Order: sequence, then structure tokens, then C-alpha cells
Amino acid sequence: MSDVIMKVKNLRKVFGDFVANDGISFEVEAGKIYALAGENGAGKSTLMKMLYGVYPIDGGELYLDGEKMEKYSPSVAREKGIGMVFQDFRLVPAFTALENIFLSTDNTGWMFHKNELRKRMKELSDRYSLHVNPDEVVWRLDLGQRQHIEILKVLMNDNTRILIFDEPTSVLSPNEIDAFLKLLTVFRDKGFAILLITHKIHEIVQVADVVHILRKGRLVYTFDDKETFSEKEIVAKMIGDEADGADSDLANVQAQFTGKEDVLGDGIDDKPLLMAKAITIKDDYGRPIIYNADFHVSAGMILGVAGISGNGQRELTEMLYGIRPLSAGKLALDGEDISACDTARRLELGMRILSEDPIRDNLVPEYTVLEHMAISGFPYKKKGPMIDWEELDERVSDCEEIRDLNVPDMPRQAEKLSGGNIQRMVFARAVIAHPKVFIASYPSRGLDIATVSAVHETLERLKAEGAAVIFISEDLNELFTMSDRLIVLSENSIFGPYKPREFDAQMIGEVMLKGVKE
Amino acid sequence: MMDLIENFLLNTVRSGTPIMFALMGDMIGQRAGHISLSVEGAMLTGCLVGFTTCYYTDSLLLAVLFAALAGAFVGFLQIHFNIRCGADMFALALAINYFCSAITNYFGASMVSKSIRGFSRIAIPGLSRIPVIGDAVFHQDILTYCSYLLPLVVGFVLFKTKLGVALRTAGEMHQVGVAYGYNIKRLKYGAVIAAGVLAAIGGVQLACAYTMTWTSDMSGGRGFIASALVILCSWKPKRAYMAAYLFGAAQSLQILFQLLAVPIPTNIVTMAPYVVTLVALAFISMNRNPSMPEELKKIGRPLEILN
Amino acid sequence: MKIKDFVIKALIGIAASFGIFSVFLLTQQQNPLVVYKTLIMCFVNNRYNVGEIAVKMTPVLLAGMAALIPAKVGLSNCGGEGQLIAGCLTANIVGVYICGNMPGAVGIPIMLLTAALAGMVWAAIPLFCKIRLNMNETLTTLLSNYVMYKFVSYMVFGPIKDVKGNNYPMSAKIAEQLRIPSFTGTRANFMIFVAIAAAILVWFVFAKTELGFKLRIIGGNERAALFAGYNVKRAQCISFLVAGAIAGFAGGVIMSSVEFQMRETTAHDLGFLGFLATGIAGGNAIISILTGLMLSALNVCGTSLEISTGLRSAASTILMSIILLTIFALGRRKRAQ
Repeated sequence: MSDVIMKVKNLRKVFGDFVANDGISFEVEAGKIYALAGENGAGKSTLMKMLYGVYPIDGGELYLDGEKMEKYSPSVAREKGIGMVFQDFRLVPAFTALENIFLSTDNTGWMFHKNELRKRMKELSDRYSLHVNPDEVVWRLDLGQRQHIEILKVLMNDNTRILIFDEPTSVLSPNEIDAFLKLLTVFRDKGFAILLITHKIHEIVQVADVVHILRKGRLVYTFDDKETFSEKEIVAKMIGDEADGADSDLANVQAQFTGKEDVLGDGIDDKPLLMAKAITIKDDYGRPIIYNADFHVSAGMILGVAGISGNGQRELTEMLYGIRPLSAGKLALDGEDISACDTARRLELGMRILSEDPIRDNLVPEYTVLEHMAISGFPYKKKGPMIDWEELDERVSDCEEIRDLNVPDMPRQAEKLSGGNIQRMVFARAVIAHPKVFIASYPSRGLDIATVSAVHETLERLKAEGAAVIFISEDLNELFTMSDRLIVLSENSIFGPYKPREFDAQMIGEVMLKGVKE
Repeated sequence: MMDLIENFLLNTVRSGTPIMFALMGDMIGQRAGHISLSVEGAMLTGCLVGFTTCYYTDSLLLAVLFAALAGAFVGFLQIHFNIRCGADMFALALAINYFCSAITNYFGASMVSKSIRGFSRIAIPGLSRIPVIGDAVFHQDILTYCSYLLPLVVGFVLFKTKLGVALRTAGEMHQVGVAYGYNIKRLKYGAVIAAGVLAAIGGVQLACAYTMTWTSDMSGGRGFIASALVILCSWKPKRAYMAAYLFGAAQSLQILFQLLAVPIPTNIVTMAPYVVTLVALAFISMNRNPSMPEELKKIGRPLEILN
Repeated sequence: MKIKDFVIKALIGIAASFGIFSVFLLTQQQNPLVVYKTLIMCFVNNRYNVGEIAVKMTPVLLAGMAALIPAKVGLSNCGGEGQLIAGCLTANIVGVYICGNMPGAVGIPIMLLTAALAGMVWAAIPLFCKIRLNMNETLTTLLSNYVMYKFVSYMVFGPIKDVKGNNYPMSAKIAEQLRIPSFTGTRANFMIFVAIAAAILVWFVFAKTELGFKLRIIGGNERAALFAGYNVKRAQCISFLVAGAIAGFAGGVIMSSVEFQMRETTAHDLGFLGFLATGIAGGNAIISILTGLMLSALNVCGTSLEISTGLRSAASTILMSIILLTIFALGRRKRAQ
């Protein structure tokens, strides 16, 4: 059964001097799941955006139903039956699910016929088991449900034949991921063609019929549906033969977690450096998002923090850092009660943080990189009431960590840097201070493999220096690889600590979803 | 006694009308993510343009038309200089108000002691005989009648049409609007110009139906009050009735107190509308504004450049 | 904003405004060239008028600082108008009823101090609303200006009405010795230098010192300041109160150097002009000196315009507002689209 819906030949995309995609050719048939694998920056997203008409094609051809596409755009793509489910959900949090669908689908008219639309939504929801309450406001929905709305948007178009998913599982919990992968097979069996962009190898192995591997913008290998393929083989093709291969930490992070030894031994838990007892933290609306919980970290240890986004990670880091008050309970550092201490004091005591959103939390418009270093980073000297900038510049530029982490040049305006560079700057600033307690919140988010490696190495180095590191991430594999102990934020509680021998995706996934009944 | 209450209610409704217009205008703008403090200047300009047109042509329709044009121009200045030239929306608004004040003071000097026929009150048969409220609600000028419908119309457009949903998207998360092909800029221009138009029409009512005179700076801060009242309404159109007539009542207190010979000095009583607005604003602000459009929360924080 | 860039922008703005204004003048049967010549001649060889510019510029510049300082820490103070008037009123009351016959060297500082306190108190109300009640300070400060207008009306019609004043709504005058001495031939006094020095000091603190470095972080990204361990609320409160005090002080200066008595419209618009002068100065206090000078000069020359050409002085206000708008129009989109 070969209905080729889409065909691309020698597709090419350039941004200025940079070649994002080159010489890409393949076909898309109905009823198959195509996975597009590659590391961050390999060109997957760019390729998909060309297929959906967001980016103009700079070279090569795109055929739909045998017809060459000349004036291609997202509306043409939609007309021809291509639907894209974006990774950054294009949803307005203040609107209901129904309003969001009304806003973003073409064929809903100028007037909002709520009942009709609700009926259509229910029909599709039932057919594909994508249950969402149409009248609930999106900010109250969890990420899995938000993704359902995105998928429903695409299905509202009756023409849709190809579904493109861009990193769909990056924000889902393990159980939601299972449900999602099952959903993909349902779509495939109903005759849709699925293009799946992902860097999660074990998911590819589970569902994909065909695997295209992208490296540095080119299609370097295709495992087609007649071959069998394993994770190791996929990783090998992704990285290429030049790298260290299976040895490296990144191979572990990419592939299924294979187990970790508890090098620290049980004794470490008896000497906590940072201890939280019976703490209750309230969110922005006054509700207790963490209630009567305990946890602790010892020196020379990495404590991983797992949990579905929105379970108090931000509130916890803000509390630890002194920005959000503790509603109940105590926080002690090195025996000293710091529950009521302000941020300045906690900085003095050696606490540093890499926030989950350095742009929102650390970036000062118009300030240069050097000026950012002077903010709670490097101690500076003064000339009367003025700061001695030349002296600071010299000292910072000489610093080893600054060079190792590839921090951008001092005179550059920080707001003009890329997200990754800003992250590097803030990370370096925190690390230079040789903190006693370091809180790293989603440090790998959005970074390329090389930088993620550097981040992991730096955290290991901090641990070796005797710091207590709190490591928050949404990627269970990363957490399992890096952590000495693991806690889970779920159901307004903190569960754990779990030791490495207990690290199991299934079990931890369930805790993330439902907690543990005592 | 009944007379007094009727009189008080009558004035409450009449003086609430300009506020209703400006309030609904700025609500549209704020829902699109832009606060137009220049509705004060737009209203003032509407006062003079409306009054002058009435004086020379006796045509109420032309008065509204020309005032609307003037208001549109004011709204255009507000949004254009902000989007195209990066001007801070508050400083810009105050400069625009200054301009409107200067222009109206200069050209209005000759209008100061003139009088016009203006908008007369039209009684709705039957309904205007209802005791107590009949006169106040159903015996008003046509612009006031229009203002009754404003919240319903604006509410319908904002919540039941694609245009309205798109406009609210501009005020909540404009990236989503852009992603689905809506022209966010055009929506914001439209919203803020609409704010200017409505505020100016409110000014026409103020000068040609309520006071029937022109004095310099006669809007007296009503535009600012209207902007503040948008917050009081939690950006919900139907609440405008409560807000506009709350102001109207505070404004009418002066007359009521005079007639009742309440021993509070006039000048203190005239503070009432401002103080009432501030107090009402206090109550609603303490409640952490869960319905504030997201884009408004970002004003003053220029960090949405990197996404 | 660099000074050079601003000067270029201002010159273009002024030139464009003069062009637009010329069109207006023609419709009023005035010869633009005559009008502009009169404007310029207004203070050439005219010591009194130059003094008048200083008289206007002092409160305008100080009120500009009252708007600029909170802006640097992320707050919007549109209440300089009311704070200044509060100071003016207080200086009069203190001067008439408390200082009475005290010598100037004692009385004037007391008047100015209480004026500053009055401005600070009037600023404290919207500040409290912001900090404790989470209210938008732009609107509260704007509305509080109107409340102060009404309060002054109440006072001059009632409690402080001058018994010797033929029942006009105005207060008594402060005593001769409580008036700041002026330079001969003008109404100006040394306070203009105080105002300019204040502006330079404000610029220096924010641009060059460690304190300014930290304060600007609060205005740039409040969360970043929190993450750096700064006490943001305290810095914002102090800045706002200092601003109110400066505006109040300016009002005191006005009372004791040119007005001497309080009427319904005394000191109107000065605070507002100060806000506008800062509004186009892009947060740079040195530039505010230039814009304050420009606005004050135009304001003063408006009156002389009326005398020589018959053009109502309201016209010069039109010119001023056109210049303000044109300078706004010459800005560039700050954000990448």
C-alpha cells in the first residue's frame, strides 16, 4: 500500500552563512510512523518548519500528492492536510480549551458558536481518546491535556493526513509518555502518516517504522521499515564515529538508563548540610503547593529532584533562595536556622542558584556581561563611591571557569546574547563563587549536547569540592545518571529520598503521577 | 424626599455616561494589551469639537462624527508613537493630553460663554413613568441610551466573535496570535483608536447633553478615572454598569449634599469621585487580579524580547 | 541615551515642530517669522526674562527629578504635580502661621523643610497603596493630583483665606523677610543652581556609583535584583519618598521666592511639566536639564508673545506640546520585532 503523500528532494535551508539543512530527500507514506532523530542543533526543527511552510525553502523541492509546491505557507500546508503539533504549546493560558480551539482553527467562522464547537470537539475527543474539558481554562490543565488540545486543533481540520510532532514527550511524565506513544500507533492504524521529531531514543525504538538520522543538517542514515534497529545503533549514527561513543555520559543520557552504583554509601545521609523539616510553601495564589514535607542534602552529594512541571519546583527554589517565605517549618544550613534569613544573607552563607529561566530572573537590560558578573558574583573593588571596572574585567577574564564554560566576552550586552550564552554566563557566575549549596534548576534545558556535558562536568566538580548540589530536571534519565539521591515532588509532598539501586523509571514515574500512599 | 432621590439618580446616570464611553473604550484597548491614558485628552477634544459643531451646525450627528474623528486621531497618536517609536505609553499619554489641553484651550477660548441647543432628553413612552427610576433611566439623551448598550455590544464582540478573541489574544499572549496568522499590530491599532473614538463621544455627551457649556479642561480627570475603573471592572464589560454609575453617584453627591445642606464643604465633596475611584481600586487590587490580561502585567518589563 | 544623540534628535524635533507650528500660525493670521523672532528676542538683552526662565526652570527641573528617581527603580511617579503643590501650600501655612515674624535665616529653612515633608507625605499615600495594596501607582498618583487641587481649593476658600483679602479665595502672604532674596532685576534666585546641581548629582549617582548600579538593576529587572539579594521594597520606598520630598521642596521654593500666597491655581502645571521634561529625556538627568530649560523658556516667552503679537499665550503651550510629541515621534522601536 504505497500512497506517497509527501516527497522532498534535496531540501536546503540557509540562515546567512549558516547551512541548517542540506540535501535532504525522503518520502512520506500514509499509515507509517517516521522518526526524525538527531541531537539538539542537528536541523530537525528547521526541516519540520520547512515542511509546514513556516520557513521558505532555499533549495530543493517539495511535492504533495505528486504536485510541486511553489508558493508554500502554513495555510497551504493545512489545506493540503499537514498538521503540526508544536512543542511550545500555542495556547493562551487565560482562555478555555474551547476558546483556544476557536482561535486557532481556520474553519470555525467569525462567530463563536460554542455549542456546535463543543460537539465537534467531543466527537474528536471520543474518537481518539483525547479527553479534555472544553470549558476549563488552560492554565489549570496539566501538560498532557494541553498537548491533547494541540492535537485536537490539528484534527479539527478534516483534511489532515500527516501529523508532525515536535519533541512531544519532553514535558510529559513517564505514564503520559506511554499513553502518548500508544496514541501514535492508533493514529497510524487509522491511516495517518506521523512525523516524529525527538531525541529520545528509546521512544523511537518503541514506535517508529522508519528512522531518519540527521547530523549537522544532513540526512546521514535511514533505518527503513524492513530493518531492525537498536538504541545503540541509533546513537552511534547520531553522534558519528568521531566521538567516544557508548562510553560517554551523553550516550547514557540519550539511551535508556542502565543503572548506577551508589558510590557515596549510606553514611552520607547522616550528616546533612542543608535540611528542611515540615516545610509548607504557598504558591502565588496562597495555596500550599508543598505541604508539611522534609528533605535534606549532604555535602559532596547531588540530590536530584524529579516531578512533573508545576508541582512546586519554582516555589521550592524560590523558598530555598529566600525570595519566597516559608509558611511553616524550618530550613537549616550547617545547623543554623536560616528560615527567616533574606537572600543577601543566604548568598553570604554560600548559596548560589541557576534559575530555570535566567532571562526572566537574572537578565538586566542594557547591562554588559561584565556588569552581570558584578551582580552577586565576583566581589569587586571600589574607587570611592564608584566600582573599579577595569580591575574587575582583568580578574574575571583571567578566571579559569570563565574560559572553560565559554562565557561570552565581557563588553557584550547580555540581552543580545542567545539563550544558551545567557545560561552560560549565569552558570559561570554562580559557580565561580565556589558555593556551599548550589541549586541548579533545569540546567540542561535548551542547550546543545556539548554545553550539557560541560554543565554536568561542572556539577560533578562542585560535588567533588564538597558542595551540596540540588539538581532539578524533567528528564528522568539525566536525573538517574547524575544523582546520588533522588526526591520526587508530587501531590503537594516530597517523596524519597531514593537511593540509586531504587532508580526505576516505572516506579518513579508512578510516584511522579500519584505520589505514594503511606 | 422622593424628588431628591429621583434627582440624584437622574444625575448619576447622566454623569456616568461619559465615563461609560471612555471606560468601555479603554477596556477594549487594555484587553488588547495597551493602556490609553490619553482617553482623557480624547474626551476633552471630543467636548470641544462636539460643542463647536453643535454651535455652528446644530447637527448632533455631525457633532458625534467630527468628535469621533478627533478621538480617532488621538488614539492613533497613542498607539502609533508607542509601537512604531518605542515611546513609553504613560509619558506619551500625558504628553498627548497636554497637547489636547493646549489645543482646546486655545481654540475653545471663543466658545466659553456660548450656549447650544444640544442633545435633548427623549422620554421612552411608558417606561419613563416608572416611579423613582423611570426618569433617571428612560428619560435621557440618545447618547446615554447608546451607552446602555455599549457593555453588551463590547462583551459580544470580545467573547463571541473571532475578532474579539483575536484581540484578547493580543492582550494575553501575542505570540500565539502571531503563530495563527493574526495581525497583532493591526488589532492593537484598532483597539486603541476605538478607545479614542469612544472617549471622544463621551466628551460630546459631557459638553452637549450634560453641561451644555464649554469650559477649559472640562474633562477634569474623567479619562484617568475611566482608565482606573477598567481595573475595577476586572476587565469584564458587564461590570462597567457598576463602575460608571458608581462614579456618577459620587459625582452627584455634590448636588445631593447641597440640597440636603450637609455641612461638608463643596470642595471636599468634589473630591468624592477621585477618592471613591481610589478606594474601589484598592479593594480590587488587593484581590491579586486574576483576570488581568497577561500583556498588561508585562508593562515596564522589557524582557519579552527574548523568547 | 547619549547626549549627542539627544541633541540631534531635539534639534530635528524642534525644527519639525516649528514647521508644523508655522502652519498653525498662518491659520491664525500670524507671520511665523515674526513670531519666531519675537520668541528669540524674548530673552536677548532681557535680564528679567532670563530670570523668569530660571524661576520656572527650578521647580520644573526638581519635579523632573521627582519623576526620574522612581523611574530608575521601576516605579512611575506621575504625582509630582500634587506633591509640589502640597509643598507649596505647606510652605505658605508654615510661613504665615508658624514662622510669622522669624528671621529669614531661620524661617526659610523651616518652610522649605516642612514643604519637603509635605511632598513626602503626599507621595507616601500612593506608595502605601502600591506596596501594601498592590495598586498601580501611575493611576493613584495621577488621581491624587486632582485630590490635591480640590484640597487647595477648599483651603483657600476656607481655613486659610486671607481676612484682609476682600473675600477673594487666596491665602495671606508670607512675611517679607521669609522671601528668598532674588538677583537684582529679576525674580530669580540661587535656587536655580541648587536645582541644576541636584540634577547633576542624580545623574552622577545613577551613572557612576555603586549605589546607582544596584538601583538601576531594580528598575531593569526587579526579579534579578531579588535574586541578587537586594532589598527591593526598601529601595523603592526610599526612592519614592525622596522623590516626593524633592517635589515638595520645589513647591516650597516657589512659595517663598515668587508666589508668597496661595491661590487656587498656584504652582499648577509645574510638576506636570517636570514630568514631561523627564519623559523625553530617556532617563538621563543631564538631558533633563536641557529639556527643562527648553520647556521653561518656551513657557516664559509665551507671555511676551501675547504682548507683542496679540497671539494668545496658550499658543506657546501648543508649540511646547508639539515639540514634546515630535521628540517622542523621533524615537525608534526598542524591541526587535
